[in-house]
Amino acid sequence: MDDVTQRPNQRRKQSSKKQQPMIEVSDLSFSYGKNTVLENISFSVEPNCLVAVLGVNGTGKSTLIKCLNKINKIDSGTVKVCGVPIDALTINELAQLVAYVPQKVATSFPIDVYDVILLGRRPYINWNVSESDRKIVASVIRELSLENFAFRKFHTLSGGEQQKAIVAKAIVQQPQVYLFDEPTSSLDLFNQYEILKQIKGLVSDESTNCSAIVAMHDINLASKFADKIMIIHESKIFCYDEPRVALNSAAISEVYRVNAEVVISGTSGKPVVNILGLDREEKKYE
Amino acid sequence: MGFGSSESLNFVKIGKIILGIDEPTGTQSVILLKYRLPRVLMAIFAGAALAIAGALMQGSLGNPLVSPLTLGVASGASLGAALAIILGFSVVGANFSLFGLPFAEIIPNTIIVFNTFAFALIVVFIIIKLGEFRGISAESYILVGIAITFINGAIVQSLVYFATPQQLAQLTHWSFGSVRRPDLETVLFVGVVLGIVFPILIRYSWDLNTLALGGDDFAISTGVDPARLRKNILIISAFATSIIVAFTGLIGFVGLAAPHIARLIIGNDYRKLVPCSALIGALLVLVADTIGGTIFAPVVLPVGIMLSILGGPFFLYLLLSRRGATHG
Repeated sequence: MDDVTQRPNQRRKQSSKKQQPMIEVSDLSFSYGKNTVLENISFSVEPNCLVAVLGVNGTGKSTLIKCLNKINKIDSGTVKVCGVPIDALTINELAQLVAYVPQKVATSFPIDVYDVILLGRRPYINWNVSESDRKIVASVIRELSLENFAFRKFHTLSGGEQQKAIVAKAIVQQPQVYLFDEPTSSLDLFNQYEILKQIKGLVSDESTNCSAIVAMHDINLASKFADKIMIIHESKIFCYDEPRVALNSAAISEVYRVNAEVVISGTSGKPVVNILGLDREEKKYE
Repeated sequence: MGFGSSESLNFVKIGKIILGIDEPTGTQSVILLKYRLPRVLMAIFAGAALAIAGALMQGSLGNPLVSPLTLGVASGASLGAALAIILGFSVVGANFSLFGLPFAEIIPNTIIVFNTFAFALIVVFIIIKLGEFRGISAESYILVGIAITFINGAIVQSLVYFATPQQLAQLTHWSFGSVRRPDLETVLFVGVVLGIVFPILIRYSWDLNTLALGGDDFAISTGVDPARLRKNILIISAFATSIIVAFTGLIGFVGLAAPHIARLIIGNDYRKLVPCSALIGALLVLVADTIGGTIFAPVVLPVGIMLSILGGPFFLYLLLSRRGATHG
């Protein structure tokens, strides 16, 4: 069981880096009962990096995200956030480092949007909300232009507005790592774009060194915004690289079983994937 | 029994006596300090404690049908009372004292009081442990709670089967919850204990809001451990309600209904819901006890019975007149 000694070259990269990775996952495995979902997953995420996690339905994108903040209890392996193993942190301490935005907060619970956002301060609050907590909330509301619905009931908002409120709650949490579980899947084009732009803005802020891991379906949106793309396929990391390298027609065909061409956009310089048709040929992979 | 309500005292006089302006006559003083004041305080404490526990348990288990009594406390307390009354078995001796305080002298019926308290807590702990063993979900606690309640019920019924008529009468009388038993010292003791417990419970409002808004995953990512929250709330609620039940017997309904009534009035935000539930719980028990004490005076109807008679229809009316407004 002495895994550490078997990996002599794992530390190779660390010495040359200016900072420790925000997230460091080694040999993570997770299963629901007998059904193995993730197997020996290892990767790390550098500061100021937006990672898009792609993969077909049910492949474990959301599962992986939830393994990083103790929602899922992993079978084996380690997850480190800012160099600290998450097992050594309480749920409250972890919430100060990692914020999570679920796909959708489906609720009929009548609570003001302001109070939802204020919940982001929960990991820091001992007995009562302080003035500085309220200041942080107010400034985030201003930043994201949520003034119009800050005092409406959360459950009466549109899907896009709700998602923005939950993103605001995550920002108020002042974490080092943001986890997004398909944050745009129920949103229209404009809102999808806006949310990702916000995430990109958070990660690009050099003063905070935050990183984000975003599970998503839209390859082209991922290509446009992500610094790195991770494709999960058959319980493993199929590739983890810059969009230009990760997104190629062979990979798309292999993972998504479609024929696709990948062209580099003249305006953004990012790869754009055009689906040409379904890949009907049975391809066995050895 | 009916002594408390049959002698009349007017409000002005009472105010003067409490404020120390007017010297009470011997009888008036005795009635006020020894019977009425403890009764009113006990009604307030019992109503508030049961209602707060109910609101928190319904919130943490995500189930609108849970109440402190239904999840172990009532069945444990009944078992404790039955064991004490019928078998004479008790966790403490008749001359029990703790921290140098001779409880046996302070508290009438020491054996029943301590036995009901102890067994209520023991049963709740068994439910929590078995619930954890099955899985830490809210549903586990509820299912295990129901099973344990049935087992307890069977044991109590077996005991009742062999009980003498006198024992049976005593047990039945105990089970009719009443706020008229304890004296002022006891009530103040309960008040101090609850004064320590309430702030701890009210502090969970934030966590419950988180849980109610987005479920377990959302709670975890907000720094709230739902498993620990459930366990803590179950333990502290059980502690608070067991103390009440030990002195009053079974006062049902208020723990279930007060939070729902509060919800209909003030909404689901636990920061407001918990204090509002306490207020309504206290009011319900107070009103029920007052009416129970006066309607057939000098015969006093136990508050447990009055609560269900008065509160049941009122609760139904609220539910039906404001359909769809509640949230589990």
